[in-house]
Amino acid sequence: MRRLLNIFRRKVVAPKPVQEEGRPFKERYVYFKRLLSENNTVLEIMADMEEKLSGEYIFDMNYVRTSCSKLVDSVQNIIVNLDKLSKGKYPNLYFAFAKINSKIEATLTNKTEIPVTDFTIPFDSVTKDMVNSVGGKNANLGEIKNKIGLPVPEGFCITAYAFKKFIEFNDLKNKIILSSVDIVDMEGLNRISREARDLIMNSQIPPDIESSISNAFSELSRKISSRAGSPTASVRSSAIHEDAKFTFAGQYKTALNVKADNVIENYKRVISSLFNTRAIFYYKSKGFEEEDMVMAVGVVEMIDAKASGVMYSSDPTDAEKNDIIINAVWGLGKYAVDGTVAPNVYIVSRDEPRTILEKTTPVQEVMLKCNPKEDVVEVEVPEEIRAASCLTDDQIKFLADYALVLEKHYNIPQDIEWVLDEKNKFFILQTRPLRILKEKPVKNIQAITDGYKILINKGQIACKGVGAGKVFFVKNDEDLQKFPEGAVLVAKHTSPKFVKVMNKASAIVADVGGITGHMASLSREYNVPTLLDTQVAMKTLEAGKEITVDAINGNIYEGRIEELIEAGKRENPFKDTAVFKFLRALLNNIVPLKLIDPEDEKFSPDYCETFHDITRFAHEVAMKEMFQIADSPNIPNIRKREAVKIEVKIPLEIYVIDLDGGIKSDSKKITPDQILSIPMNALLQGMMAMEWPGPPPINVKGFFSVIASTTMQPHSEKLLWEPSFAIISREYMNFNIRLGYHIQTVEAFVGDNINDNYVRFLFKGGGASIDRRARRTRLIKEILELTDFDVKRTGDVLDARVTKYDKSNLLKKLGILARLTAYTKQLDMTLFNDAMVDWYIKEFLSKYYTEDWE
Amino acid sequence: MTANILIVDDELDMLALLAMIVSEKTDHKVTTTNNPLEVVQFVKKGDFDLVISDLKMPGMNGIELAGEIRKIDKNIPILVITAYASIESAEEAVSKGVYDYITKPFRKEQILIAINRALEWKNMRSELEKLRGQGKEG
Repeated sequence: MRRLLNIFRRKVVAPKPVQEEGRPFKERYVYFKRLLSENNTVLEIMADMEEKLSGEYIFDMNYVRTSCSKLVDSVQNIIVNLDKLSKGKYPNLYFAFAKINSKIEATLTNKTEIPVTDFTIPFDSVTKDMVNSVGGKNANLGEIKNKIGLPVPEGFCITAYAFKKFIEFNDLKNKIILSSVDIVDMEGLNRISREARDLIMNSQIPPDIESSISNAFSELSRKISSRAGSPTASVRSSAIHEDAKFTFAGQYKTALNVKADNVIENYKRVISSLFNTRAIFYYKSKGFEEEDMVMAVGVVEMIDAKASGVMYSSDPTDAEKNDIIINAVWGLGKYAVDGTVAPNVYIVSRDEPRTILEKTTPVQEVMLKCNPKEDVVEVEVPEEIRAASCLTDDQIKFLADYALVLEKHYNIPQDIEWVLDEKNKFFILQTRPLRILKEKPVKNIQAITDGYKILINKGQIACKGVGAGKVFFVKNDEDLQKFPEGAVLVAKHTSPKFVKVMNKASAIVADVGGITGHMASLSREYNVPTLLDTQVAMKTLEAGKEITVDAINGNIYEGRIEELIEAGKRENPFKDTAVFKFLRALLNNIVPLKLIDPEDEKFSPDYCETFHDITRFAHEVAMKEMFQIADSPNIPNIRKREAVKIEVKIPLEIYVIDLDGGIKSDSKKITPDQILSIPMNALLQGMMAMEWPGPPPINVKGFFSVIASTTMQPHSEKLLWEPSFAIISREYMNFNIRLGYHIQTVEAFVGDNINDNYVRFLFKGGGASIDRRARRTRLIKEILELTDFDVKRTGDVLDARVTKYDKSNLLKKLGILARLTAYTKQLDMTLFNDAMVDWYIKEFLSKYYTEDWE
Repeated sequence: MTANILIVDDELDMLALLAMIVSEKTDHKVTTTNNPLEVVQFVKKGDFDLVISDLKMPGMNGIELAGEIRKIDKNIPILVITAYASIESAEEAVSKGVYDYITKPFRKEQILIAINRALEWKNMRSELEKLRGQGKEG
């Protein structure tokens, strides 16, 4: 600020042409307006994206990406405009932005650094945290083996790092050009895919990787030699992003029963399947990055299955059924997965004691078996077992137990591949989260009209849900401190400070506020059912009375309505889809609001962790910058040339400086009806409608108090005759009112979007002794608080603010402020004791305090 | 009325979500595929009352798909789903005989309403053909 003042001071010393001096205000106002508009864009996009998490919408990756890029643009514009408005006062915002943006970028592109590891890692040292090195499938096998302790075949991973080195070694990044193909050109896609796969097959595995694989295989052979004479393995894909972002299940190659000599060849075959047509299509159309095209591979001991299959720890079509489902075929599991033969189906109860509820055993003619030398072969199922169950009842129950162990470990139903060897030993080949597609039957939450009393039936739903509890009114910060667990927060208007109790509140209701506000966003983040703009809740509801807030239909009921509360509790399976997870991960860096209290020392760019933080910070300081606009020392210089005097019948000399559409005429003197500024008009009308107090001090002591005080303040004489200035536009006003001995500034923005709207009122000074001035500030404070202002008082300085009300409400508040201004002019002289304060408050309230006062 | 609906989308998530909504909120029977090239076979074999398809898919886009379906049966309404950014190709699709389009993101209700309207259109069309047939006979 000092730098800013210096700039202005310099200008005062060497005055420039009129327009030059006037321009800083206009320019700054333009930046301010742009900032407000971008601020709204950001809030709208955030609300829109959060709304998509409700489960009521269908959206795709493209939507998430487009919304994000719009958001990034707007947040950037906010920072640029604030930078200009404040003349570079907050350079750290750029750093905060860069930090957050890089996290968002990372989520958007899903760039995962490939960790530098050995080229091969044995299953013995793998856990699920190593997914970026060994891929999902391998990581889970390691986890089962080393953390859960269930049997899995021996094996090792060929890591993502090995893949990266292979690509680099052969310069494949420059040889495989995916960018030239058109996605609708299926021929082209196929061609590129074929070329890429050929390139890989014809490339050389770097010698160090080859020797690492060969050593790992020897080690594997040593471990399993007791089970098989000449050990063979399956070579399986284990892609880094498989099952995470898109579903690639079953699209990559698996080679079965591979001999030591052919492992390298099959490794290449498996990684080449990464470039199948579909993957290239995704790469092209869904914003897949080249970095996403990474594959680790598992080399797994080949078990010549007696029987094998798939099991689900829960019924994917109906999670409430409480069943475990097991599929089984004779021979290798490929036939169970690809549907070549009809599998045995066993349904087992999840409850103890484990019981087999259903058993279907169709006749199986053929099965897939390991060829003695290499590869697999289809053979006939021996006559005597064709119609027999693949597993005995004991084996079925035993396997079902495994399913529950896995589910318990991962804490989510699992989709498991299993195999039974010739010695009747089970192994787990793979486990992954089960996609449960069927939602629990949706209970249609209807508004209840019978038997319960609806207290309020209007409002905007900011966060869907149902909550019940006792009404607790929050009027100030102390109320928040006392907020009881499980209560319903009821307030006149919204405030981000409510976040402090969002973990306790069962619902939030506010008479004013919109669904795109900061607090609404917090409500959604904390999932607190929230109903805003109810208008009458403060009047209608009673403190301590139990209510049910139905923020689905938008009703508030008397009492506790269990059936509504129960119905509101439904889980949404949409939320398990990849696109939801993607959106949610992104919103983590966008929506949570940490910067809540502007008084907090952490309210600074250095503590901005999300776009919401940046937006909130910028909006707050932008208002501050605008408020200070009238403090500028070159105002007196501009006033004579640029300012226009208003001819008005109140004892004030008022000049206005028009920034944009604030007045109708360009003459030097105007009448109040030529004012177009919405807030200025409201204030002037209010002032003109009052009878202004005559010559004040009747009480002699009060009069002397003024004299004594002014003699101690050398400039007070001048203040008495100082004119008042207002910088205005159509929606904006920054009015510096000089009323005898005290100064008050009223700043307001009153437009069509409630997020922009605010009134700020700063009151300071006076001619009377400090105790009388303090009495007047108390009077003003109490009346302002009744008018919903958030008021801070330090000595005789009052700083009051009200934000996010709609236009008509704010205009009424400006009216009250105008009447209060006239009413309290020189009132301090007469406030010789505290009882007088109470008396004047009463008088003002009875005579002038009505929002519809004309 | 219970209708047979075929849903085509190469993005498996979208396919699953669409199928989930329709089978949950209506009595219609849903068949799904993520391979547009299979659609012609499906339509030839099955007795579908409505096809819902993504506009942008590998191999065959929604417009081509509509052309193929109309060669087999002109009375099957086709709804295409598209990103807002591709609204022009959606309009082109409608001009080439697609019944209607929906832009993503959309509310669950929107697709249900669109399905109802498309099926009503189909019924009316069948009625009309019947009447025409009677007219000729008469």
